[in-house]
Amino acid sequence: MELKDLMKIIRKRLLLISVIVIAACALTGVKTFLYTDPVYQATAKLIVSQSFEVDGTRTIDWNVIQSNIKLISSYKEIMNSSAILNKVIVQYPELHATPGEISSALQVSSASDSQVMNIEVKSTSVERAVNIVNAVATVFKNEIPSIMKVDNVTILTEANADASAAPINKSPIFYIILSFIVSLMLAIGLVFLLDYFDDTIKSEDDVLKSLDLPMLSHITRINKSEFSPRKSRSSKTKAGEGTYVTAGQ
Amino acid sequence: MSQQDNKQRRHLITAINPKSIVSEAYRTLRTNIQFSAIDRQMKVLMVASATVGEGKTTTVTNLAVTYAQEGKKVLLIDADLRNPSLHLVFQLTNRIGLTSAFLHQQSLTDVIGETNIDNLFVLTSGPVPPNSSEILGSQRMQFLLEELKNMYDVILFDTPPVLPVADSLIVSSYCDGVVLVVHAGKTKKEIVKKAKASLDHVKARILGVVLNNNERSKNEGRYYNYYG
Repeated sequence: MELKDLMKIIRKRLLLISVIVIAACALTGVKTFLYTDPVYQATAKLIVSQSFEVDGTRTIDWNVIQSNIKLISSYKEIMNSSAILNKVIVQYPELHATPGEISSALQVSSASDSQVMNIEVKSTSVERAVNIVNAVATVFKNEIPSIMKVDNVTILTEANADASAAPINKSPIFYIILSFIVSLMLAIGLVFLLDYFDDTIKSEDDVLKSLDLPMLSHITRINKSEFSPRKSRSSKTKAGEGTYVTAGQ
Repeated sequence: MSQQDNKQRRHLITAINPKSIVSEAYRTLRTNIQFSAIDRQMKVLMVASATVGEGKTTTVTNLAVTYAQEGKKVLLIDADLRNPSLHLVFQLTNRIGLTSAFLHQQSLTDVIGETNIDNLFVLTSGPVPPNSSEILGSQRMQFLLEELKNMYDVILFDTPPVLPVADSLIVSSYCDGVVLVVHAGKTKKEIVKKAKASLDHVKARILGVVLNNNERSKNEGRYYNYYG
């Protein structure tokens, strides 16, 4: 199919396309401007390391560092487990949170080959995000010696409200542009699909190709205005025919 | 005038506004029919379509008007005995018509109605009979048609759709040519192909296709405005 044909198909259903796109953008706009609360994210950092003394001097052992790094993946699981989350709720009743709520807001990550763990909590309130992340970090640090029989977790930085004050949501404009692009693509896809499934006769080409019959006439849709001859005459003078003739003579 | 009348009058665009684009298209149809057979006289014609509501009646009435405007004596016969509509278009009575001429042996001149268009006469269908295919296929029908051929220059048939009933196939056997009306953007290719096959099967002479109810492009309008 030629590009011209594709354009023709799109132009024919331009109304449908624009309705879909405008509706999608409007819905996204309403959703993002009116019904989306800003989300804040608070981050605390934990470092997993311990130093030990050999002959009175503090040393760093490569093997220990490696095992600490390996431990981090276990720590990630432990932090999300009820062993920690239940304790958080018991020790910080003022959070009024459930384990599930914390678990869903909590994200633990670490860079590869790094002993630093990031604990992130997202919430619609800055204070709440900061309080939860600090509560989890503290409880985790306190509990890990009894769970793993090793005391190698230290809180590197606690979350604070100032650092997390800006919401992390993308701007509504971003979502509207996104929905514009996506809905435009879907609408054009739909139009092509409709055209593909449309097996009606539409043009002289169709008549020749599928029926092998000549075309005798195109009868176009009748406009209401064409039922009164006077009106069509006035439209003719508007086209300038009368004045043209006299000017030519 | 009631709304119903207005709606029916709309069929007659060629009579109301002969200078319109649509009327021009009907004149093109008339010309193309005349040129589609130089060696053969196109005296008895019929307008067929695969299914209901593709614009047979509109096409046949406007074609009849353009023939009449050309100065020919035209007879328009409503062969759609099951669901007649020509009497509505021309606001004639349907208590007498083709079937009454047939069954009550009334003379043809009594049942043929005059219209307010010069040279255009209409034979309405008459009361709806139970056996329309038999009436249309009978020998008496052929005699009637021979008689009418001597009285008129052009005879046009409005018929029921091709696919549901056999009536139009029977009528097509009397005709010098069949014009197939296709509703653009509504009729499926397969359906029209089937209708064409049925007409081919009874050896009807399909002259060509009239595409009906097309979207009008802007260029086309400008073209006609300039020259019309």
